[in-house]
Amino acid sequence: VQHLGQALVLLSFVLTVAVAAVALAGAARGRPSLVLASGRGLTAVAWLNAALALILLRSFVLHDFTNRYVASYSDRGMSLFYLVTAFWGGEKGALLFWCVVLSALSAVAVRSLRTRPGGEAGSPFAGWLTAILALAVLFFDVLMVFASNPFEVFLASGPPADGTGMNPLLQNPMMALHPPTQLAGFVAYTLPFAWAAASLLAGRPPGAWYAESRRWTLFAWSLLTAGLAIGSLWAYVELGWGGFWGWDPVENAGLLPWLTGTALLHAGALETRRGMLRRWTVALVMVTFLLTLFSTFLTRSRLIQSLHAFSDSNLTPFFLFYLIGLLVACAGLLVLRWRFLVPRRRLESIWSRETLVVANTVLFGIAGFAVLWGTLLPKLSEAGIVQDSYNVVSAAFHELLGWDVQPLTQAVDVGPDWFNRVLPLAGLPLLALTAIGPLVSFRTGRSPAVRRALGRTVIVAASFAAVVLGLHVVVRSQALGAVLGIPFVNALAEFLRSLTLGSVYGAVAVFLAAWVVAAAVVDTRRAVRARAAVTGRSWAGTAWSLFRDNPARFGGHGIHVGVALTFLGFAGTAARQERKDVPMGIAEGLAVGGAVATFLGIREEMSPEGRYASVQSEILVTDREDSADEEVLDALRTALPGAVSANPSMPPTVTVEFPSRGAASDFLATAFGRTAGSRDFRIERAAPDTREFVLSPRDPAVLSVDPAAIHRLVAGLRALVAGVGPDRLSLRTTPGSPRFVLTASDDRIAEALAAGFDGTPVPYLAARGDPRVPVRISLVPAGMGEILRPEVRRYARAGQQTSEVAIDPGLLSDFYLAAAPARGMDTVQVTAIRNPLMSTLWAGMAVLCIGGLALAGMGGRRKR
Amino acid sequence: VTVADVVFSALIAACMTLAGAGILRALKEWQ
Repeated sequence: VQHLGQALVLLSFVLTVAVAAVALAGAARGRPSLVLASGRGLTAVAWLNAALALILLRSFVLHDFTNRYVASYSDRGMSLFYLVTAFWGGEKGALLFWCVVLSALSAVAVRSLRTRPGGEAGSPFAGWLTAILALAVLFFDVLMVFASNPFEVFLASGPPADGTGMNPLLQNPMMALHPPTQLAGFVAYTLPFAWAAASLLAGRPPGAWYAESRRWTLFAWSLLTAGLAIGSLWAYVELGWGGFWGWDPVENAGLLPWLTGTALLHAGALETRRGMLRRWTVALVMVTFLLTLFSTFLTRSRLIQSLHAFSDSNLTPFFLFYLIGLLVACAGLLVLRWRFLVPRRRLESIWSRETLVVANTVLFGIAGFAVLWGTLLPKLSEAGIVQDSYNVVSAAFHELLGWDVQPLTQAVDVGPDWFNRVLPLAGLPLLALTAIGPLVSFRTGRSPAVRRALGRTVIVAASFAAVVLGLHVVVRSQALGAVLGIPFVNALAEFLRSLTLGSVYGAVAVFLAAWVVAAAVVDTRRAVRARAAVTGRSWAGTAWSLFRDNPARFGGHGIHVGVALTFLGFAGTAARQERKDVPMGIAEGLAVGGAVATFLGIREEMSPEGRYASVQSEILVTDREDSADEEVLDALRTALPGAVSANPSMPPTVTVEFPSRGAASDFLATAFGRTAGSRDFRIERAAPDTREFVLSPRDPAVLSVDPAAIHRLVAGLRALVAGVGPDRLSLRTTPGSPRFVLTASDDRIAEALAAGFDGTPVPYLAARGDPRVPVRISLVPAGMGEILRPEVRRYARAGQQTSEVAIDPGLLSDFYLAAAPARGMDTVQVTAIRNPLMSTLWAGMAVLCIGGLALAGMGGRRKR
Repeated sequence: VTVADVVFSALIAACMTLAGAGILRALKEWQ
């Protein structure tokens, strides 16, 4: 079957060449029959590529390890879902995926010309379109045939018995979906590009291309947005550093086409409505298309080290030549047709929506340039020639003007902080434009109505922002005062002093986001009122009919609200101040942003299919004010008849006092088995006469996957011995053996220890002795808060490690926990973060993707 | 031979048939 695949790759390549050649000939000579034939040929290419995809998919699902690609990216133990997603897990599959999606979309697009009124099927335009799309497919065919064939088989040796498997970092539902959405978004930008280029080549009326390909632009934009959103979500839940966007070079590379693509949507709207910004729109679609390829190139080449750096790739020269060739072709086409792309109108007034769209495009350009600069600077400044020329120029400046400039001797890395400082400078004005734009009319915006609408929305937004930010400052200062034990006024001053540039950006973002929403509401209300007054229908019905008639305008409002929500999420991130990274012992609490995280212990087990060993840190999350109530205390008192008193101490713990040190250590011995002990160990043998207990790990399979686990187990037993007292209990271990011998020095402690493992349920979750006051024990009561289980997984195959964070999501803020066991200790390293407004961030991004797709489905055009 | 094998083989064959049909129609269109 792999040979069939290889043959079909070749056939697909030859057929694509033929389609491109026939289409070019048909377009150049104006022969409809050739153009129509090439269109059919493109459909055939799409089916051939679909067959190729099925062959690869079949190889994955049926574990055909004769295929090298299948052997390197899957194994027999993987579930069907991940077997399917392994398709695009590596470079070769990603290329095939690109080829399949592009040829399918191309075939649909070219076919759509047959049904479109105007009879352009067979026209030179259709020919150029087919040719450009076929050439775009051809590039990926070339890569597959000459550099990276997904159907390569093992030649010298036979196939391996099992595959290497998939990188565990990618075995996450989000990561399974991120590459195909992102790639499909990239691929889909080929269509508006091809439409524009073909229109220019065929000399069609300028501007028609945008209106016709708007659906594709929206479709591509929505997929790209979804790709970025899913990628961010994955980073948030999987990488364990607490953020969702790290300004990693490849993340940035994905953002670049998104920025120009968004500018394209706005410039294109002006092109459709007013026939202006013609050259901009064409340039933007070209740049966006080139950037999608550049982004892929960055991802696949090892030009820049990053999270996404894939294994060796030999595609770099291909991409480089293709990119340069396309750049020259695009520039040439634009220059040749420069005079042809005359705007239909000129700008009538500075105070108009036209100006705002231009500003919007410029700001997106600036943002794009900033991202590009920050991404490439480390690489550029590494080059000797760049350093030398910089030093020559700076020396000249020093001579002439007396400026003192540090010479450049090593690579400059700007880091995430730089991006977070610089990009809001473009992002916030853009957000302001998002608010102002819909309120200002085309042609001239200097009308009393516009001024009134602007004034009104500013007042609403400013009051909203004032209330929200005021509340935020008061609540935060109060909390700070409570923690530091200082009066409110001092706490307020302290809080205001702690504000950073990010806080200022955040505050501005809150105001602007509110303004965007207010503007969208005001404009919609205005339109609904006007129409309802004429038709006399209900408001809801009118709103729906308005939306149906002009989805670009009212759908745009919906998407802008999504933008506002996303920016609120960014503001929340800027306001994030509570982050703690500390080692924690059992029953120790950590206060973070109004909550307390209390470490209960570790649970180690193998995953159900034995693919990885999981170390879960059980962490109880409770409210800071929420201390144990009478009911909980009563339950504890009943369960501990020997105790003198049980009183709440620092929430959520309860301090229990025993009459003597002996009674307290008896209790600790019992509590061991009833809490963490019975999760980690089982009693293999108990000898009453010698008071010896042989313990072994509950899940010994973990030890073979994660050798460090044995150190953790020993550390846990050492802590037990230290708590009970070395005079009453001793531990003997044999190096390399997973058997631990505990010897009690008297019968009471032996009985207490054994009683712990009898499986009686108890109303507490963890216990810790107090080394200074031996009769006192801290207990974490059961029945309060919620237990989160951040996890570290160690995969049996290849020994890779991943972290799975635990998140308690909330409308106003998420409580985010990542924890990794410390080596050879009974503590865990906990990262606890109160992440404000993540919910609005994800909701905003969802609105963007879904809204964009809905608009693409509706055609996104005004109905005539 | 498993069910998955049969299903995949059928789908692949269908795609190839459609591709073949596409090529034939292209040739017909040409004339």
